[in-house]
Amino acid sequence: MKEPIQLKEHIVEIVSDAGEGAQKAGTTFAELCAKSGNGLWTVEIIPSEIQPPPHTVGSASGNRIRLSSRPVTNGGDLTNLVVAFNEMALLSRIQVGALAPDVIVIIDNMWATHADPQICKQYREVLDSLSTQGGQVWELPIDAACAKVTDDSAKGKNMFIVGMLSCLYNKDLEVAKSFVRGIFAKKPPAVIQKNMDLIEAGYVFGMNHFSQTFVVAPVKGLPEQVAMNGNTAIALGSIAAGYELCSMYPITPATSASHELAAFFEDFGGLVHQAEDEIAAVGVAIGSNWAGKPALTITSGPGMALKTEFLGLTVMTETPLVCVNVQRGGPSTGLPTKVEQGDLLNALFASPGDAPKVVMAPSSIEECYHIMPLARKISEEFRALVIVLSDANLATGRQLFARPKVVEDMLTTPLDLSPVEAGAKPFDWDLETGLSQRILPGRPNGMWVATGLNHNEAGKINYLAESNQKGMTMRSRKLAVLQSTLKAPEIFGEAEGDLLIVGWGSTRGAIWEAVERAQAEGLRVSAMNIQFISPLPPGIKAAFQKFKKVMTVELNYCDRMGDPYITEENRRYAQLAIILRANTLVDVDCWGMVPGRPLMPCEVHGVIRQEIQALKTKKGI
Amino acid sequence: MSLTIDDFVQKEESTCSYGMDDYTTEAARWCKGCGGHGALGALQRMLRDNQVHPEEVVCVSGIGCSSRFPHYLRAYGFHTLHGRALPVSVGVSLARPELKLLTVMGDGDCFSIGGNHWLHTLRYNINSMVMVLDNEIYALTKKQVSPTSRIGTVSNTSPRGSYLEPLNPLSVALGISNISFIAQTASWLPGHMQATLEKAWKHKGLAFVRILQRCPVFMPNAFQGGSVDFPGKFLESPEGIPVDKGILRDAPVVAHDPRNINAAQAVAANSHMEKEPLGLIYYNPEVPTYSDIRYSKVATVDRKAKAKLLDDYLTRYSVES
Amino acid sequence: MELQEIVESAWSAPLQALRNKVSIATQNVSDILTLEVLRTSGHHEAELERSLGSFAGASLDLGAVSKVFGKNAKKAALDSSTYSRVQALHQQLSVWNIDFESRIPSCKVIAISDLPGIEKQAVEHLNQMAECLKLIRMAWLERNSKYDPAVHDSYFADFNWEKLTNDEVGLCPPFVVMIKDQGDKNLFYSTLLPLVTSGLPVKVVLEKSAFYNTYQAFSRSTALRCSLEIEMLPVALKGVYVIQDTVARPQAIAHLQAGLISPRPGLFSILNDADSGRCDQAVLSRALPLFRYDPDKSEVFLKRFDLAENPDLKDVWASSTIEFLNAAGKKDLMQKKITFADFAATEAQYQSDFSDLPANQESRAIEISAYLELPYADRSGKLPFIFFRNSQNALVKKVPSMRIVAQTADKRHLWKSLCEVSGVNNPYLTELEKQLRTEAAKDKESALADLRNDLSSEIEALNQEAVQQAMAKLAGNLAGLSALELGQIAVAPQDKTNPFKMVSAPIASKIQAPVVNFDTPYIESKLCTACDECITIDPNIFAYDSNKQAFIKNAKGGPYKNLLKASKKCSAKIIHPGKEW
Repeated sequence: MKEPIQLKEHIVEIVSDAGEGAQKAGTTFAELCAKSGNGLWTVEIIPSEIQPPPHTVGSASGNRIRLSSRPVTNGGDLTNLVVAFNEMALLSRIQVGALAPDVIVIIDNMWATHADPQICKQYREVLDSLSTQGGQVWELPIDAACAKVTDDSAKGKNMFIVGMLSCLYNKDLEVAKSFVRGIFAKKPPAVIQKNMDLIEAGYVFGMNHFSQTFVVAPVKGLPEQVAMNGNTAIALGSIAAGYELCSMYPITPATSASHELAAFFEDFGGLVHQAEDEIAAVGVAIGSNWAGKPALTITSGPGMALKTEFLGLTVMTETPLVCVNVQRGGPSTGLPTKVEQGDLLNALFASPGDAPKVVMAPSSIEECYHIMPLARKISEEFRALVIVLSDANLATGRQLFARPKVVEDMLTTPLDLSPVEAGAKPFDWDLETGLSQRILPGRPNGMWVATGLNHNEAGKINYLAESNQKGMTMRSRKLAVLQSTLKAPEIFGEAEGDLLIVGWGSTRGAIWEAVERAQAEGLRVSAMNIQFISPLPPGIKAAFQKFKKVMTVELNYCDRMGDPYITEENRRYAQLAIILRANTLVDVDCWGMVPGRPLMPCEVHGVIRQEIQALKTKKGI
Repeated sequence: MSLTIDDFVQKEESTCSYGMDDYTTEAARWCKGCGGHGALGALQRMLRDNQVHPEEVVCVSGIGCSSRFPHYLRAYGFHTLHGRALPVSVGVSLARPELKLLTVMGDGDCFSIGGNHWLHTLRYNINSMVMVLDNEIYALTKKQVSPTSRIGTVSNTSPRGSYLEPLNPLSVALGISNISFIAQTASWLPGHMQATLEKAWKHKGLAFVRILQRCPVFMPNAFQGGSVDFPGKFLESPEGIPVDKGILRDAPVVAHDPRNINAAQAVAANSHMEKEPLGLIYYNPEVPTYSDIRYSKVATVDRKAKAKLLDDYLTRYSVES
Repeated sequence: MELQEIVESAWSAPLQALRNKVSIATQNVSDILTLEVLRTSGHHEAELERSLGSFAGASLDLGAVSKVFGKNAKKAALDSSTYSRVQALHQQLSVWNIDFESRIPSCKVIAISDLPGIEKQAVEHLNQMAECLKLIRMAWLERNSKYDPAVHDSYFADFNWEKLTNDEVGLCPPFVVMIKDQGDKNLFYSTLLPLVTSGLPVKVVLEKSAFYNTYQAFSRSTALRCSLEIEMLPVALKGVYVIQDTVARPQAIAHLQAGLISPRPGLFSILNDADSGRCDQAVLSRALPLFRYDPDKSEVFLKRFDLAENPDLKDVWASSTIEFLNAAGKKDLMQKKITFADFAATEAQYQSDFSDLPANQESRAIEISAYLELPYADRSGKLPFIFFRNSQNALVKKVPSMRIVAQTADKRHLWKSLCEVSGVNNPYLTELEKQLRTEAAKDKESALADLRNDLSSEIEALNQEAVQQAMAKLAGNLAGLSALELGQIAVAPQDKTNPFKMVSAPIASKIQAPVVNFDTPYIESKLCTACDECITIDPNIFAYDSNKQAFIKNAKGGPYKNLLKASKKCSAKIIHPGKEW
């Protein structure tokens, strides 16, 4: 065998029919890489159905793992290596354009001689076309080798593949085995032994069949790291924030956050309430918060649509609430398992009437954890609705980050039932800040009624013009006050230049990586990520004015100039761009797309080069 | 049943003397002749008779005439959205099981737009008295047919008479698992209504009380106008609600076993056809409440322990490099 | 499982609930103190940094946040005396919280000789439990801001177990002593009786394993000896909770639990044997009658004394089908009554009390169950025997010694007495039942006669009503009311559907309508629905009373026509306008 090739990073995919084990193999291998110190970002490849027809493009299921020798903030570009259980799974990855032209494909050769001539034919076609485009194909007798170790090769293949990949990436076999032993710790010894055998067989298989292997060096010198997906991070962050109730209704891709909580929340004195519908889910959370037990609700786009009326009530009654929206493709049912950033305007504006609220977006899995205590604190201190916009990319991706420090003080304020001073009012707004004290039920002398009707300081229904004006002003004022405490967002790169790329949420990793590449090429481009979208942080207009061009890069739909009928006047901008244009009066351009997968740095890099080229051309004219 | 530790802890030593004023904020703004006045008065008398701390009462309502209830009751209140009172009540009951929860809705509010919440909250059996003030009409939106309107009801959305047989809320409620308390009374029977509310108040679990009332403006003739001729029959049982015929001229008293779900279903099924049953229709105090079920599984952890436990959990995700 | 563990497990659920309450109470009180700190300094920048972490620090200027929050920061909510009271409570509760398990004594197994003086320990234990309950209650009051020093200081100052109600005593982990039954009757008289009659809710578990001889080997077969029977204890000590059961029965745990939470002293006689077959046989043979006596269950003794879980309750002896090999060596079945003697024959200690029935004695032999039914006079010359299944599974006849016969007779007598006191076969009840049946037949006839009488008085009443109506109409005409309105206000509400039944008494008393005095207007306030009609028509005439129900505060406060109008509009039709002045 040749010396292993040293790589800075590699993107490896494992794909199979749904239920065949590629996901398990992928997550196991990813964890193994994480344990061995690689920077990491994984992306799930999920079919929409639970058991789609096998051996079809729609059945492809698996995991995409970006391994790196430095910390990773996104899923990266095109895939360098694929382990495919069959050619249709492979084809589906070719079709979505996920693979690099020089991709290495490791595929089971049993299909070449399959009883069905149609299968043999399409197997050959797929591989041939791949080879002609520059791909390397390693056809190997995986199933046959696996069948020697286990009676049911379909079931055992996942661990066999883990062994094989451990060999391919020069992971220590014993480390791999002890890690997998840990995973199966609760299983009977016979099961553990079988999996040990499979890993070992896979490893040996690799030694016998691979002419080339790789090494991706570990990252050095980082503090203790944790690896989890964004929904787990939201779940653990919620506990860190002191939440005691999560009221939800099942919806993809938000639900796994509640699964995570349901598994252990009761040990923390909390509970997950699966309500009868999305509307009830938010209603229960509001009732609980109003009564003094911190509760949150977690949903995705269609659920947000249903919750709209209740969210308005939250704002009107100034009941603290954090509502997490793990965004997916829309409109309507859209792309339920796939990423999009299409709910920004919904979060900002969907409500009967004007309902000022805080909208925040975590831009990494690490932030999914840390944003929860902050969101909870803001919601309680400002008696406000806080919408946290995560997305499917963060929810199902997996990232390494520094282990969070757990602080008791981060937990919510204990229940306050101290007596209320005589004459205290539930909306005793401080005229300057709009802030007022909460009066929880049970406090002596404090009886008041929360209502969705306009009300005065005492909470009494009031239809008078000045009362309505005042209520609206006070609720809105709180956002201005919060805004005054925000720091201007960091600019990644020089504070002035040709192009400023503005993004929000999960795209930050890909954008910043692309900007970094462009900067390395000498392009005068910088990036900014907006974490608070309502209220927008201070100083963005001034920052924008230092650049020749400002544009947003978003994973949501926008019209493209040059398309039929699209003019400056009728162009529908990407969602953040609309907000930035309205708030800064800067001519912010946008670039958005809705591929149902995360952005790749190379795509953004392409956009940057194109835009800067255009700027230069324009200047030339 | 023997005393629970919760009963002991919440027992009062102090003596207080609340009067009607202590449960009143302002004169109710319902139309004169409205049954809401009677229901409010009966509730206030019941609270006074039981010397309930006003600050421990939480009254949650939906939207509609009846849902203005909390504004007139001196207590904590949450006047929510149309049809959505019950989810908020579920939240309050999970958050603070010790509060004394009362949910007030109208027929359109509870049975139509809030139907899903109604069915499921009955099944949760949260600890709340749930009053539905049923006048068989949408009144606040000015006379539209409601789920309980009799067939042929002339309203603004059914000017030629409504088309469907009414929903029978009693039968529906009895079809829900975990149902623990159903009673029916009428706003023109103040004595019976107060006794019904008292029984419901003392029930641990969801006490569903349907209060028949007329709308003097849009449905003055509902239930024979709530007159002496209202065709009611009183259900009598040792643990039931004392029979108090009030003004009724022609109301038989029948023996009924509220513990027998089949008997209750028979009574409910016939309610529209012959005489409206008045009294305790179904009663099963043994059904556990949702918060009791849930909290029996929830650990008691103080702040320090919680932080420690979370730190331990994080170790599961830890990656040693 | 050891009996001790069983007894403890019967109490484990309430104990866990109490333990939980101690944790919650500690947390509640600690929360009050935490809150006070947060109130006064939660908005400080350093505090915000700690509570929000570096992530928030990157996005927010915490100095600015501190300024905003500080602007309306609350001052301390607790005055210094409250604060120190809560602090002291927190300290006490913390000790309980940490130390809870060791402060709850386990079920004590003690020797008889240690029994004297145990009362003192019991009182100490109860007071400690009362202290725990007190702290929990105080924590709850503090949590809800309901602790009023004027009321509660003195109440809690000398709080001890005697301040607890009976129900509350049931919440205290019980003081349990466990004694092995050595068959020593002095134990009862000298030690146990004083203990269970001391007024302390002490629970004594009497662990039974053997059945002792109560008769000499050569007793007469008639049971004359007077022995103390725990089963009859309730008759003498009606305030003691008494249970007899075996560890083999799953129901025993629930019964024990009910007994343990009773505020009464308790005596629980439990047969403890790992051999569940032996336990079952002891029950089946009436050697160990199962019973529960709950002094608080009912006013009626019969209902307090519960024998219901015994097999074949209504029979003197329970029956059982036994399987054996017959003379031909084949499996055969036999239904037979199981007597104490049958049980004794399987007990090691009584082996010498049974001998084979000599072949020549067959003619005098009679089964013991039948033998004991004979009058004494007829017993002479008879030889009682039992069917005994020997080690080859064959049925043989065995003759019990006289002391076994005496003991069996005694058990039979005891069982019959128990049946009587528990109402199972009470002879007086049986007699009463017979009487009732005959009387019921007679009653039917007289009921018919009564109905006939009722009918004639009803006709009379109807006549009277007609006269009354005519009078009312006349009065109405004078007052200017229409006949229709009269129909609603002046006629006595009566149940027309059943001519034999008058309006039931409680309702009749509330409705004073027919006795109309038309001169003075009045409202039947009890029936008022507070619908606001009359009050709106004329607030000078009508007002709400302290029940928020309308009454006429001043009939002449407004024009008479307002009275009439209100009477007409009243949805409940309870305003009687009286006579125009």
